[in-house]
Amino acid sequence: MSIENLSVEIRGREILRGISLEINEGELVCVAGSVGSGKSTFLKVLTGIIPELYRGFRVCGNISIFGLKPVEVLHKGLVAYVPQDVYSFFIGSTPREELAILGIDSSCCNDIDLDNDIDHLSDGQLYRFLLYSALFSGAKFIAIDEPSSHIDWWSIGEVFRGIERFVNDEKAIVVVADHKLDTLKKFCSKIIDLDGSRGSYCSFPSIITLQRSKVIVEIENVWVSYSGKSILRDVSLSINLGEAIAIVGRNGSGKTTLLKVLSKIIKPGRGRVSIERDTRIFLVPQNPIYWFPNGSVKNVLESLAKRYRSRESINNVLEMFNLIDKQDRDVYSLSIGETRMLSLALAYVSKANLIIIDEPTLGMDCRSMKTFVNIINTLLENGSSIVIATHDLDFARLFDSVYLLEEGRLIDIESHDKDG
Amino acid sequence: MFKNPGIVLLTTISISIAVMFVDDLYIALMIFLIVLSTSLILDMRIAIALARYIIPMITIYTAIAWIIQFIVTGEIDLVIGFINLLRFSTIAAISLTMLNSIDIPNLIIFFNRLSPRLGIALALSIKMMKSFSKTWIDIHTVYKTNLNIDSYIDKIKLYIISVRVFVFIVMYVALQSIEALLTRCRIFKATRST
Repeated sequence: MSIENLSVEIRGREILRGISLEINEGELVCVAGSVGSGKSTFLKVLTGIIPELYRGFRVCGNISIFGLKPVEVLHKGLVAYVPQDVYSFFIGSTPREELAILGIDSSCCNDIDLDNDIDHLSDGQLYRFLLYSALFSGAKFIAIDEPSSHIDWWSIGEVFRGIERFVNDEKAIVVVADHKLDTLKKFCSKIIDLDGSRGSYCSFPSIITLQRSKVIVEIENVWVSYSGKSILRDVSLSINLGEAIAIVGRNGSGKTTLLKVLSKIIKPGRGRVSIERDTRIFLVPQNPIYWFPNGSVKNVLESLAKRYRSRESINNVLEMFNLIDKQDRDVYSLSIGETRMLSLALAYVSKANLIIIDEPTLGMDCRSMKTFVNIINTLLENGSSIVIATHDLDFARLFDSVYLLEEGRLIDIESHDKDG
Repeated sequence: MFKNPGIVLLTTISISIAVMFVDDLYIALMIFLIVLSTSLILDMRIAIALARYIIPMITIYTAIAWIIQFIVTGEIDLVIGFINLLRFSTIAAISLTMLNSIDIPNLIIFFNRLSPRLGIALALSIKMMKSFSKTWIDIHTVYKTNLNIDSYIDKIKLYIISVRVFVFIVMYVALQSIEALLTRCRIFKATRST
């Protein structure tokens, strides 16, 4: 693959400028960059999706892959793309149906429940499934977008060792875009830094619960099952006003189900859920885009702030959440990390007592995560409670209350660590 | 599970056409009860979906039809209204049962033999049909949780905002689906390169 002086812009806004690069067969190349630096755009240009599908982009420079243009490589079926947003990327109803449609043998995906409904697989399981089907699709060039946002802390190394073997055996080219290359850089033969963010050391302040007053939510001995399979088993948890809790677990461990029980969306089969009267809940779902109204960032923020009767200055909120320079952009043109920041800004203006966030670090870079930690501390100071679910154990450890969800059971992580 | 989707489609279409010609209330009722019992035996969820969503929706349309009929002609023909209600409920029950029992990969391969573009269109339409209900439920539950719903007016506002969001998300999902087909589906690639 050879890239010469690649520049991309949309409506006069420059996204990428002057990228030149050569990638040989059998190489795994990583692309680093902060939120909105153009990592996904870069992958979409290499795979030919831009300008084949998105025609508003102006692409300059030369790209040659196996001696062909990206669009030609795309039409010859030599490309597979694993996107950040996995939810709309399936055609079948179950993984087995999907593999049948794609003509891929089911032996590709041993750790995926092939007969489960796609809607019932977790984000991480869906991402892994897309990744495996891309590797087994017969493609010679595979573009992988933000794997560390989706694959859990325990498995990412193992998954990438598999990709490394694939690259060496098949003499394929794999390009990975990720904002968190610390864990992945040992697998990369080259690293392309789109905005010089890779060099910055990422450290976070602690998340400190200043005051714990009354219990606002309490769940006791909760059991949730789906299709005869227990997802939550005898789970008990209480949340105090002003407390910050992190629930950590592998992909598919039931984190989202637990958050839905706390938000009153799912009624448990057994057990008790009691929520203090006048508790206002704000849920930021795992899927960052699928609940935004249309309009610019500022308009969306203004309209929901008005609904919540928030007196907060919108410009201050935009500034706080690093969205001031994106305020006029349509929400559907934002990157996944930027939509996550907008979701958090909406949670902030809602002034809810309990803010529940599913996978808060999805697509976020170091700067955004620092902002997020500072916002959590501000919300705690204001007396709100925060509950997050994450597969990132390093991030969860910033919280003073951390629970591990394993095989449907909730374990206090400190006692779990002591037990080994 | 029906392995031959062609037979399933043929059966569904034949029964649906036959049902449309029934103009006797008792025969329509008998056919509906047979289809409903068969659905119940094959998959309890179909009967639940019929009872919860489809029959109430068809009943609302029938009631609207009766109101319009009354305004225009000054009288209501209850028998025709009931026959229509049973006809459409029967067709809905047959379609749901068949869709649930069909082997979708085989159906797509079957259509692909006729025309690759038809195969893609069918795969995409089945996927969109399924994703619509899930998208609607997701949007509605998130806004129901996040907006403080106190009054009847709040409930109306909740529906208005959910519909607005739904329209944009459906467009977004459609674009994503085309991305998926472009980069994943061999059927599509074969069509494009030929």
